[in-house]
Amino acid sequence: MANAQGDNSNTSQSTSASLGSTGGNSGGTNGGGTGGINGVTSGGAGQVGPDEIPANYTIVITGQRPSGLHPVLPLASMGQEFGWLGKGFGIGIYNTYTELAAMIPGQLAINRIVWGLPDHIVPRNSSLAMGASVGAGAAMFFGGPEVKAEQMVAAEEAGYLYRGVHVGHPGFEAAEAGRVVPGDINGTVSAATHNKDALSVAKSPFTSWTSDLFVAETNAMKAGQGGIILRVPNTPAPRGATWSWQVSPDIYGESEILMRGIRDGVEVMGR
Amino acid sequence: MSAQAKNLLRAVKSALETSVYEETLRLLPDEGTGIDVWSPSHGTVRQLLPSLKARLQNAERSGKLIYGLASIIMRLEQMHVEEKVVGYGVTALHAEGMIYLLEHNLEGLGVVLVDR
Repeated sequence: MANAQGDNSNTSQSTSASLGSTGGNSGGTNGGGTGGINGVTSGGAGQVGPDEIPANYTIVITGQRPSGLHPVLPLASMGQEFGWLGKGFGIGIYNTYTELAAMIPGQLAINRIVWGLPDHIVPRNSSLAMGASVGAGAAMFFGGPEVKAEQMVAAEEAGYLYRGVHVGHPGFEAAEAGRVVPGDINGTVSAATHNKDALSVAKSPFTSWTSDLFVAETNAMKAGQGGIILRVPNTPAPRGATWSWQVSPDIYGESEILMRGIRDGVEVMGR
Repeated sequence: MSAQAKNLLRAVKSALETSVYEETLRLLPDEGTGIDVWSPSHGTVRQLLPSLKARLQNAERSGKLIYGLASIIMRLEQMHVEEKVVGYGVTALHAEGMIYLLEHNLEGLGVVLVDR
């Protein structure tokens, strides 16, 4: 399982941990990479080139997105792009954090995660163009003590809510910075109208979220490639928060839930 | 139903292709259909069309039946993106959704309806 030879089975049953220093068989040469990973990270990594990754870090290419909705990635082609995988980094396919945690040896913990497939890893013209452009669950870097794998598992079990933001959306720039802003914070549009009427959102104090990653993706792709997906844990607003959840009538069956207000610090999964 | 609401509903129904028309007649009877004439929403084809397309993709995947959606998308695709549209929320005994019209002459464009 844990190699990059095109074994794109999403069952990931093998126990051959690829998360060690043995490195994954990327199938590619150490070609120096193609400029690093242009993902949005939870650890502030931003651009990460192959030479910047500590030796004890492990790259994991997820076989599926966190919700398990999408087909596995073509690791053979990714391996070629990840020519620098031969430098002692492991590579593996994991469908869930739970599964991933089971593969993490010893006390290895997570301190940095990079989400999103950069365009130069999967060409836009590939069948995965959509996945590449709106990204989700692509690469992670491991090592360090900050976030335990168990915490990631807990977060996954709690679930996430997603929001797709398309290119040209009035709130796109803010979204890129992890800030969610409704069309009109003082708007009087009701939750029912927001849900029912696509034209009402500009005057709405709500933003639309969904537990269905596919729905978020279609929204992110409304204006073509380049959209982004935001993700937040499916947990109640803390006391005093500037935002709150509100039930949506969800008449179109899109697993919608509404967020009222402005929220900062939202995770940008990628583009 | 007010005269204005009746006119709107009539305008929309007259614009519908046969299959959607029949469903709309069933779902939105002249009597018993509420149209929110007081707070229409306004926008352009550019704003509305991508949202409806995304909704269609989601519905096709989930199996959710949304009456009139594919039809109005086809109609909007033939229009200029800056054409202004107006939408009214509708609620009936067995359905709810939106009716959309051209803003400048209230010519009907179509409906987006779901069972309730």
